[in-house]
Amino acid sequence: MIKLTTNHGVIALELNAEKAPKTVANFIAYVEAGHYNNTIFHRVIKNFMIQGGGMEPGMNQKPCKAPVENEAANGLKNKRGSIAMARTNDPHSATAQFFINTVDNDFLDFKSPSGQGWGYCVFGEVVEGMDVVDKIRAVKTGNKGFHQDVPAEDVIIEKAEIV
Amino acid sequence: MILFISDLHLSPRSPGATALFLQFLAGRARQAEALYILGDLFEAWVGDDDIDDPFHARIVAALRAASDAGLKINLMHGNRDFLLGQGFANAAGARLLPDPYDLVLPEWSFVLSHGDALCLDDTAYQAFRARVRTPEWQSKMLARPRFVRRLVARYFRWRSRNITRAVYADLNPAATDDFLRDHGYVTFIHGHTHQPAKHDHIVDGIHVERWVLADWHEDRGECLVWNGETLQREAVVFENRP
Repeated sequence: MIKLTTNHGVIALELNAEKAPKTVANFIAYVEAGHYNNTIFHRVIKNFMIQGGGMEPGMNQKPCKAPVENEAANGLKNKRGSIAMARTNDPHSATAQFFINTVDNDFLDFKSPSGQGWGYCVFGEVVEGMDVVDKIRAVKTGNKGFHQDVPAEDVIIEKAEIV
Repeated sequence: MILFISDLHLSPRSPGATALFLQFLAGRARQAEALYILGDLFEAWVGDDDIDDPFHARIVAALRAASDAGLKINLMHGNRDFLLGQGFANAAGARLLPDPYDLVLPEWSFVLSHGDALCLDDTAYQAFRARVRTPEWQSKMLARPRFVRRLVARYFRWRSRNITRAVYADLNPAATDDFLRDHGYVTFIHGHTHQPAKHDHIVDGIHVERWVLADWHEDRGECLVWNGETLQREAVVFENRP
């Protein structure tokens, strides 16, 4: 289990190494390296998802390792409470940033191994602290620099650890 | 807010830069009132009948979508895409600008150029430029079948690679001073040299800023942002999303 201690409370995650082995290994490597400590949820859209794990307070992007293969075809769904990898428009470009779905987002699921159809790889779910996720999704957001939907007050992952 | 970019050199061989530009048009650019593309958006352009090429069609559609959403898109020719015409501009919802172009805003004035016309020390290029920028040469070229024009364009690129020095030719200092004098000592923004920098010129005792835009790469682009008070460089990188 992974424990994310945020300034809004604790979120506990159960990862699915069976369905998403490479993605889980990638995520755990970032946890072990201390990458997620003092990062923020920098993109929060109430009825969509909360995204984080890539920026420090002040919106400074942290350096990442090589991208991981997209395992979105594993049958796991982007339903409320699931955690999935964020990425650029290249399907196999996920590095450290992840998101927690706050509602069922079927349109993010794998459809076909082609540009738009790849979807976003779910690799676990929130097992404790969904109330914390709900607190975070409700924070006030606005524009910061050229980023949209940035919380007005930093939502910080103080510590990420394996428990 | 106004954005300036140049030297994207988009082609099917630069999928990264192309994806960055599409992301830029769909996101960041729409927070601005106007976008100025100061030349060499494309690595090559052989005539506006090339709009129907699938690669170009995607870019035209993305420009059009941004334009329809309220972004004023202004386009200047570069040394690679100087055959971009009114047909392209109409399809993309863009306005073609003459080079140089005086941009007068309520709060500040600029002169915009691609920059190649001032690289006078590159005499071989200037001879080429003088020839291909005439209406006669262009109408003769555009009258040729598209496959011939594509071959000619490929030949030009091959030739320019073979004669271009390792370092891009830079602007001629005396010609630049004259240019700044002619344009009333306003801030000069240009691309072409792929040597992004801010230069301070003293012309006739007057301090003039010259901003050189950055060329785009497969994993990084750059735009220059005018926020009404200052110019600032801003990186264009891939954003992580769901």
